[in-house]
Amino acid sequence: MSSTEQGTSSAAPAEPTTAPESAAAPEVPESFYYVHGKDKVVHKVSAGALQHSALIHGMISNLGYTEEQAKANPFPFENIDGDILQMVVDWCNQHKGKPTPPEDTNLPKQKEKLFDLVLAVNYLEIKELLTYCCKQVAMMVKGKSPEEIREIWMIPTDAEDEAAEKEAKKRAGKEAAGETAAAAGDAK
Amino acid sequence: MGQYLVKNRGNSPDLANLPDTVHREIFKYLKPWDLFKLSRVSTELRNLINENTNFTIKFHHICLDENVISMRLESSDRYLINWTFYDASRKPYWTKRFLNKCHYGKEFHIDGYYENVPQSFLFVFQNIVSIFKGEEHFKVGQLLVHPNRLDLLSRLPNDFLKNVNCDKLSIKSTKANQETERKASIDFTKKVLSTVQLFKNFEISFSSFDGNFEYEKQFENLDSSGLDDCFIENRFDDIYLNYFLKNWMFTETKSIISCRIIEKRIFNLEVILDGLDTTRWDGRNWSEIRNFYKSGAEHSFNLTREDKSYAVISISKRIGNGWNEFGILCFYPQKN
Repeated sequence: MSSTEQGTSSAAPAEPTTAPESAAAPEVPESFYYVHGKDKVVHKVSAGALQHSALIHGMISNLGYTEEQAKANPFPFENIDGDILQMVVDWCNQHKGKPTPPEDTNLPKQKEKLFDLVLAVNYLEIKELLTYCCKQVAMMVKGKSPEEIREIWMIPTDAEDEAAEKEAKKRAGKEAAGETAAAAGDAK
Repeated sequence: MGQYLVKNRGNSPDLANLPDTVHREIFKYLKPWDLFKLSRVSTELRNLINENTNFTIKFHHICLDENVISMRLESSDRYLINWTFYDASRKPYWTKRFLNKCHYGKEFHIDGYYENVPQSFLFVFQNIVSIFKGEEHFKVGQLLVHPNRLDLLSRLPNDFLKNVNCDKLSIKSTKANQETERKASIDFTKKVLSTVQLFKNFEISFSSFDGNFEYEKQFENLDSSGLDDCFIENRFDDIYLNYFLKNWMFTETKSIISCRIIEKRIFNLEVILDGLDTTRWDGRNWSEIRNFYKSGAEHSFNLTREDKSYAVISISKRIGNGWNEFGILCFYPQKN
């Protein structure tokens, strides 16, 4: 695996020994784990931050990796985009060992990003972040008329949806017919 | 709208194709009114809402009046939606500014203005019924129907009628003291009972709102054929009234629960009380007596049958701006 190792965020320490939170804690060196997303970029995350994710936490406790083993075998999350995973890792680091606030205002406002984040968080089982994301989605729906919701979320009406589906089928049919005609021409 | 003609499915996630756990979490933060609007966005979303929410709705009030249709519904967690369907011609110029909707805490008021009021009501009603579940809690508290709107009642979704338990069918006539009007009321009642067969246990109240006499009867498990005898034969003239009241004091029938008379009607207490044992007011709680006043009247009489064991008459006289209750009479069927 060709991996580019990088620190996760400015809040996260470059090396475990210099971590400010571990300096405050009495002499317990913090262990680190490694994760990568679709883009194969490896993110270094402390075990404390990873506790937010029930999925990763379960994997760590089942595998019993040492830090060296963890470094050699980063957890692969091929279904999560690199930038989304970065967002998740940042959030976990920021909220490491802290009580989660009632709301988080740093979530992405663009719907594609937000939905990708929701899917990643749901997969990684990060309950608090999922709550924030879902709340944000709900807030974007609240107080809007069906037309406004359709426009914001780019949801076609049933009629538009049906027409688009028919059109797509028609186009696919035409393309398939064209391909077979071309293949027949080639065979000749 | 052209840009939405690309089917938004497949690679990029959209609101409709998120996992159900996520839908349930999102819908948790939406109130019934928002869920209803979201359900209007697409059929797919409506189905999702249906599968992933647990709102049940009971109808408090449906009024199919001659001029306006309104409904008031309450969700399982006590959100209230008051929806009034007005004719578009009545739309005031300022409604645009307020989006025809007010929101007070857990209560939403929607004033909708429609070209075709009955059709719009049925459309909204059917959608509400299809979105929110209405199994055991599905109940209409009050259903007010104008005779002209009876056909609308029969056009409500079949599922709705099957699940409904209607407590009270209220028939009101403003001219109940005229025989032809009373007959019309009876005919309408029969028509309702035969058109909408949902009153397994029902109560009917007839009222005359001509300003003189309000007369209510409640029937339980009554065959509609019995209505003729119970209502038409009751005359509303003053002579009959005295005997009616006298009998009412001691009758054992449960069908008549209250009768209110105001000063305009002439009734003779001597006739009513003749031969009846009376007992002085025994200091019972004042809240047991329901009073009925009418502005402009010098005297107010309230006759209440609290339960079948006794009845109360309270008489008040207007003094200045207030009323002074000067007589309370309790009637018992048997001497204690």
